[in-house]
Amino acid sequence: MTTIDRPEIINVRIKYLSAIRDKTNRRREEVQLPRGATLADVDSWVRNRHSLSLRDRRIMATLNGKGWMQLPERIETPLVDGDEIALFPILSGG
Amino acid sequence: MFNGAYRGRLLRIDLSSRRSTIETIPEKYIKTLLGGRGLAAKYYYDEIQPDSEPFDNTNKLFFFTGPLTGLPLPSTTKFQLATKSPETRMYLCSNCGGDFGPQLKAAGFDGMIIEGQAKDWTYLLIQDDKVVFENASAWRGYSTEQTRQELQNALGGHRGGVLSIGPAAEKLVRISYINVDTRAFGRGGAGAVLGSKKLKGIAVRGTGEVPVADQVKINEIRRAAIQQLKTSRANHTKYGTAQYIEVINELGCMPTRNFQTAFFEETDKIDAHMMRSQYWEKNYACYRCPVACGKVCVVRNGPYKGARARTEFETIGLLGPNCGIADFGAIIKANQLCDEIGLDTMSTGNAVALTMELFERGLISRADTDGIDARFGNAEALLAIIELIGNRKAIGDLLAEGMYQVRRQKPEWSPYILEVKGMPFAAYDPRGFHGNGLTYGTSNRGACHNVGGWTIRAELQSGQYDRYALEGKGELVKTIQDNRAYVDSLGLCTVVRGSLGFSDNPKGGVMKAATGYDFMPELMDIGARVYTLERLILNREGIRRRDDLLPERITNEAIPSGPTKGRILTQDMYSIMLDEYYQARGWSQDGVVQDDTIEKLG
Repeated sequence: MTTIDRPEIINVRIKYLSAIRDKTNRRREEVQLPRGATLADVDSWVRNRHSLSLRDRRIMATLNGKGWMQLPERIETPLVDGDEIALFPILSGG
Repeated sequence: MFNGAYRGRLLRIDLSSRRSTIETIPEKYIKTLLGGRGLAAKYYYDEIQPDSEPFDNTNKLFFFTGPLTGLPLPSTTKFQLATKSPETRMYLCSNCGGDFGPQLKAAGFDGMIIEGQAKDWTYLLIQDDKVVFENASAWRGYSTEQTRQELQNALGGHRGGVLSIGPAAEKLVRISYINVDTRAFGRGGAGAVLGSKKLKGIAVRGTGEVPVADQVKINEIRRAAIQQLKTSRANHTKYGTAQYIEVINELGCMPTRNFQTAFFEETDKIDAHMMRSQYWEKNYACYRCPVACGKVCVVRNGPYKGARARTEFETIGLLGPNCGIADFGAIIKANQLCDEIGLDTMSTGNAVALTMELFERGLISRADTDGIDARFGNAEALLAIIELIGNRKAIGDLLAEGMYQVRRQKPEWSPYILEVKGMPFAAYDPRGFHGNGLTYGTSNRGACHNVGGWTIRAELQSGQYDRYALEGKGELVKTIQDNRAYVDSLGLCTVVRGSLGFSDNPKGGVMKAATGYDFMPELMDIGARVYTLERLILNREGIRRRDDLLPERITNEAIPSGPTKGRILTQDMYSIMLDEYYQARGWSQDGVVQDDTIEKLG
């Protein structure tokens, strides 16, 4: 029987777009999270590191291009290796 | 009924007879349609025959302020225009900031109608009730800015509102705009209607006070709104609408190389941070606006040194990535060139991008482009093609007729033309946000993200709509359209509407304090009434379901690269949304307003 090696860590990328970058001073970060982590863990991470929150109504946050509010499990959506989260200010038309 | 905000009069100016008259606006019009866009549509409906051509002397320009225009509240700058569009050959509504609307109101008018045609080039000087017709022959060929300065001088040093056209409008280029105190009635080619009437510009100055029903309450509301805007619109103050460049690109919706794809690889060279750090000179604010979202940008080095323009998201997107341009200096230069000649930057960006794709595909050659190597990414080609359009030279002569005519004259180019009802796309690819596709299809002036209802926030953040879902989008788009229609009828900039409670569930006391009548519970119904009235006009001008469909590139081609790779909005998918939308509106499945809907809306 072959044992499949399942790393206990996943890598996700967080992008800070537009004016959000003023608060983070960087465009993106690669973040390691434990397997089983959810968007709530990302929320905690950006809250601790940058005083930002995915739950802030002045901020939009997407997981792989979809607003987290649109996802069935919302903030509890589980993450997988390679996921991409983007944070940006609310949009209101150009 | 009303004891504030309205003046109750309109100024009618006949260029043929060189006479002006003052008329009373019936109170029932105001009660049912509010002002601005609503009243402009009503007068258009009553006075423009369906077969009237844009450049006939039977076409008119209907300018209307809203009840809030000119009031001591944030950004009460807006006024509206309706006319038969040279670009789309149908009804056009357009809204604009600047000082003109507030000055017209201070002069004692809620609206102004321009009709007839002047014999010689003319400008108008309006000071309160006095209207003077002056000869503008010496200004032929002047840029919009030169004309604006001349008109300001004509006011004898008094601050006023000024409306002007450039040389493109004189040549009846159908994508030419009307400059208004350096803001614009941009889309639809209204500048060319003024050109056809030989009216080079208008200056207006009012010395009256616009009354309000409850000054104490208005002051209180103003203070609270300004305070809120300091935080809620701080990003607009710092970056303007350029802040969306990076975001829309990351969301896979940036028009790139004539919408061939929706992700541009070099946005870091043209985004808001680049703008702010390298090109920003100062902010620009419209009348009474504490936000000041206008960004005056200047090129300090390189081949376009000295160029200056107020670049905004749509302009950057369509003159930039959509033409393959990653040089912010070149975009500023192209923006400035469009402004001076008097071309709408959005339609121009689409026209240049089409030219570049045709050139790269070998469907046109240097013989068509006056020798220009019209490839994507060639900034010199971008500038040269703009000149061709403005001067109606080579392929520019056809492009100057607008996409409506381009498609009819060159049906073989249809796969590369991005427009609905003759209006070229705004800077969002609807394959990435399907609600935005319905927006383009059902907007009452063609593919417009504003009139049509800007869905992107709702499709990302509301928790109700997946961006690629079809169900629910009909109701969503209707709601946003109705919201926008009443805001456009108020005389208020959409950027500040949240601070005064003007959402799709309007709340607060501003309307009662301004007019003496509490419009708030009725505003969404008024928005629906305005939108339906406009559709009645379009139906009368022959618009049906076939005209609400999206172009081939969107329905037949999947996005080939970037975050939205593989996404498409097929005709079948689109039809599901369109059917739902018609049902929500009470229109037939052919897009015709039904009698019972008219009865219901009153």
